[in-house]
Amino acid sequence: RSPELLFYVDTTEQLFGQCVLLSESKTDGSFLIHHFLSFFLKAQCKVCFLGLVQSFSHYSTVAREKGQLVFFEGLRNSLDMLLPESDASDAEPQPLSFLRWPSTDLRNLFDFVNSSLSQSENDMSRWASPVLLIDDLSVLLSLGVNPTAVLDFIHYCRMAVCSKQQGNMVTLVHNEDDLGDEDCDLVLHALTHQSSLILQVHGLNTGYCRDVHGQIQLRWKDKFQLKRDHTHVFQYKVHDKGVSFFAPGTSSAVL
Amino acid sequence: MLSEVITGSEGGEGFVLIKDCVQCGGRGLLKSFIKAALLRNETVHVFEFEISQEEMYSGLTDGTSSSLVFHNGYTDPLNWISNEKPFDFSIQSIKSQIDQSKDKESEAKNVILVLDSLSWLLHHIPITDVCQLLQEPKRKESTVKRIIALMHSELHDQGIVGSVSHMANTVVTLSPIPEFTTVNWEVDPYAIGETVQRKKSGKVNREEECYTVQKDFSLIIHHDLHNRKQAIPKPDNTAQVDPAANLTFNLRLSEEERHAKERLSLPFTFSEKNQKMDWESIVGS
Repeated sequence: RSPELLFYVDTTEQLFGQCVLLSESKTDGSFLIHHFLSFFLKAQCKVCFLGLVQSFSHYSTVAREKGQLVFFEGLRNSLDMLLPESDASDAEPQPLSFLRWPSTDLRNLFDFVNSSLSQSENDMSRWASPVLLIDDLSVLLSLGVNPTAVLDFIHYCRMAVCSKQQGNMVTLVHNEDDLGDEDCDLVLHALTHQSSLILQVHGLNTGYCRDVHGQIQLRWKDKFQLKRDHTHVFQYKVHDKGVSFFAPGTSSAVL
Repeated sequence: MLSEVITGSEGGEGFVLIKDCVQCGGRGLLKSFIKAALLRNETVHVFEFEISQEEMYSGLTDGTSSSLVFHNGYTDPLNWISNEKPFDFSIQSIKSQIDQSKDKESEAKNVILVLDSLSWLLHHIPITDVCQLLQEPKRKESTVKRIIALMHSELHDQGIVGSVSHMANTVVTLSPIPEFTTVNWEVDPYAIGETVQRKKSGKVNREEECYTVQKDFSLIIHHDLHNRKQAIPKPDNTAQVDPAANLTFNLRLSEEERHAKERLSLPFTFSEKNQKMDWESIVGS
């Protein structure tokens, strides 16, 4: 079975209500975000994308229909928050309000996600289940948000998207377990407990390689915690137009 | 020992703590406890913060049992959604909700309190309040006979994990099956549970068992974990080929050959015969 198919899940049943965790360690895992973005757009899902680290143009090459993708451009919005042009912006709750008042929660950000993905009658006939993509969650911790507030935000997203609407959610976090960053570790462990599919992306221990960019471990968890996790390991190479996956040691450069 | 703790045959009172880890979740085991309590017709109050009601009920009950009281702390515990009923998870509120099902005829304690998860509560209420709640089975006036709580060990300081464990009568700590265990099981094992039980007499019992929770939430204990620990079997050794056979050269010298070799004087060595290097024989004429 080709590795790409494994990503795309076996049956349509598995396409619903999945909470997917992408963790990147010593490498850039955002190619997976691109991968999932095009996959879900092709599958006719309505997508809410919290792009907190890249501008929209970075992703805009992906084909989509009008109204299918709600892109929240964190970089531009944060600037508007920190340097407001007028006081009128205070009237409406802002998704990134925590930037000005760091001790508060991420409720406004959740409200933005919830309203973007609540399906009206029209939407329900037009789009398949809703999808939330977050790139990436660790930046919220870097901005000073309390890890419990981050976890509460994820809790509500998972409740609203995965449980209530049987949609899917894909979250990217950094995994720097050798740094001893307790906040990062807490968020990573909590999400590992809650997620149904975990993709861990590692750079190769031997360093940079032209033909093999890294290794990825897929971990499928049993929904009811009655069976042990299923794991698969692949290596990958990122191309201009996508990614290729292959079993370890079978890179086309080697064979 | 784990089976006896689940069936409550050891008095069944007090606080049972299930500590899981990222490799093996404890919710299956928690539901096994709930199922056993429902089969004994005990009143079970589940305070759920991590999964939806449908997920919790799945396989456990069809929702018609009056013995199972579900408190939904998952949908909107923090009151972020305006048209949902707010959920008060303060300790006073939890206690008053439990007291409502007090058995008015007898003074007997009859409530099993299930917390899924204790980790969520510890992140949202002060630990002192949580500890107060965990003491409920010890209070005479309380209706709570037993508390069963699920805790995710990696999400807390070791100090907090230690304090909470210390308050428990029974602690079940889960760890993953070791890699080298072979796979000849009739039923695939799930995890290893180490049960530590502290009795009123002060005696401490400890047992490590390999278990699986089935789809109907009954428990299977795999008794021969240690026997099944085998090293990875060596591949079958095919008939050893003698590498010294069929050589085109001699590996060993016979006695005569050895003497002949020792007698041979080499052209580039000094000896009585060759007072100087014999270049011609080295280079060739």
